Amino acid sequence: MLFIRTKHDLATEYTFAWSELILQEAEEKGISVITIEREDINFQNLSKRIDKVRPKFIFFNGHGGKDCFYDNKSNVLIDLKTCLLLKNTITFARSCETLAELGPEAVKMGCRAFVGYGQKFLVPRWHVKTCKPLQDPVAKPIMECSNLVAGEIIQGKSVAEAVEKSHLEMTRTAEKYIYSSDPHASAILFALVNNDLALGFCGDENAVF
Amino acid sequence: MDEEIKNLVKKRLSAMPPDVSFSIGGYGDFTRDELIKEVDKDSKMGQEIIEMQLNFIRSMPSLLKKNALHPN
Repeated sequence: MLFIRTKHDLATEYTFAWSELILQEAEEKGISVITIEREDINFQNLSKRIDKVRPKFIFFNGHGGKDCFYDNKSNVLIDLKTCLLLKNTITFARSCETLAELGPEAVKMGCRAFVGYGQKFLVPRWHVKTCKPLQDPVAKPIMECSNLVAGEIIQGKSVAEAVEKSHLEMTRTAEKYIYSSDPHASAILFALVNNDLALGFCGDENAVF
Repeated sequence: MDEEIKNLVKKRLSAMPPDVSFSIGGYGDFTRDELIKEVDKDSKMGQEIIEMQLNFIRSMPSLLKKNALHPN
């Protein structure tokens, strides 16, 4: 498994922190995990590692656009020409919009399945907990639903099952906040529903790790 | 953008707490008041926020129906 995690602004501080839980889950399951983080993220490093390790699952945490991933300096890391790098993998991109164009192109180039978000991925943040992302109760429901996709894939569920599980969890979580008197409920719901509407996949729905 | 829709979105955003910010991709980090300003300015991000809010509203009936079909 290949873990790619940027960390250079508030959003990526949060995705970096919350992805730690998936890293732990993978290691507990005895899965060999290679991580490329922060300044080490560049195309050369990435292609060398992929060539050497031949990961079956790639989990990308960072900013993205419709047709690319960005590195720690907001430079294009993988785009429509270089997404051949994702060939023979299941790739889960926790980033904005990459499912719109990058995902389908990656699948055309041999990526088994690409799971991601077709619109902006919102990360809500309670100002009181900014320095402690894992303790932020406003971010928690959103990040947990998103983490569930990676968690289910690691547990051997198919891509379709993993995405469906996240959708179901969102539905249950949303119900809690719809009827809640929590002052942050409206903010949580906005991000939760937005991200869920954007979540999807392309490629082989039965692909398993 | 229809003024009524803009006003609806601004009202919905103003109901959110002031101590929460949203990181919105490459646009950066925004409080609810900053989001309202973007909607007012008719900026690209403001238009995306409006679309997100409308999608949220549109999705509510089916979300509530799903919950009725899959109770905890």
